Amino acid sequence: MEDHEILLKFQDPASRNLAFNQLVRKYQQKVYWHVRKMVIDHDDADDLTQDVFVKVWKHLPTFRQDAQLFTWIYRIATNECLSFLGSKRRKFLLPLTDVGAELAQKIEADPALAGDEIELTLQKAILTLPDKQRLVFNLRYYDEMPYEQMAEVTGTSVGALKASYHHAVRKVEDYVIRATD
Amino acid sequence: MKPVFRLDQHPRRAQPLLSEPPPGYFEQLPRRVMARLPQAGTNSAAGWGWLLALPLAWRTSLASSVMLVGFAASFWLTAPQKPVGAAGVTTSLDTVSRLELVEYLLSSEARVEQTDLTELTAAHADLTSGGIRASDAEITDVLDTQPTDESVIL
Repeated sequence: MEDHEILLKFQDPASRNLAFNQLVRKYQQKVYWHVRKMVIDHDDADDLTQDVFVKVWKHLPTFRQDAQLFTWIYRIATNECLSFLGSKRRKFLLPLTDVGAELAQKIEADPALAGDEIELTLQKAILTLPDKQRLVFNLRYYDEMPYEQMAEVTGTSVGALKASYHHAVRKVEDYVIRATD
Repeated sequence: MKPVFRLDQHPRRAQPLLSEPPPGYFEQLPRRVMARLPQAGTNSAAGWGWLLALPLAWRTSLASSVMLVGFAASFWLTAPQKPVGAAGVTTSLDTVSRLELVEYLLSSEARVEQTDLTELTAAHADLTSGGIRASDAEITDVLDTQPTDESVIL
């Protein structure tokens, strides 16, 4: 079902639940993996994904269709992730590196990465990036999202995003080189 | 030679090599999300949601009943204890020695008046039967000879 059909049905109270169910089915995997890449842990990603869709439900009546629905949902998911990581850091008074270390431990414990040293090192390298830069890296490297769309999601200029991604790639490559040296 | 790693030469994946979510996760997720929504949730129906399904008149009468029960319960719980009856007083006074009673009456401001004796003997007919060896007529004659104004005996 196309986005505009979903939005049209959502406006009708009789078909609102059905339309929203379609919306969740359409975007759940993208939202889940977007969140999962940021928080690594499945349980955290599960909670946050549900929170994202509950927020989408609450705010969809006021959604202005000057942006794409998908971009708008991504923005909500991004904000949820950044809030989650920020609150985790504040809650335990952790510096940036300790949260990265905690996520790296989860990566190491993930059986999917067992035996793939270069991929494990790459993931650890990505986790050393600050949250916002890691977000930019994920959107560009994994999702291959155009910079213009990334600008809508993050509320940052295209130029700043390009610079951020460029620096992120350099940091990741340097980390992998040092780790394999 | 220094090792070289170029990200653009590394095989790109659609997503990091993380473990997949549990089987059936994405089939269940929409239902779990829908259950959390304020309007479509089943949690509210299982809790207090049934109240919303009642007609307004029923809800009003139910609320009134709950308030009445609440008032009754609070009144019952905060009501003072029942006063001990005359029989209870008599029973407890039995445990006090005569000497202590006399000392109390002499030392305190308490006074036994005619009305006290009249009410006590009227309420407990057998109270004076063991102490005063006189018939009702004799007692009445003696009382009739007393002044009519309220006088203090002790």
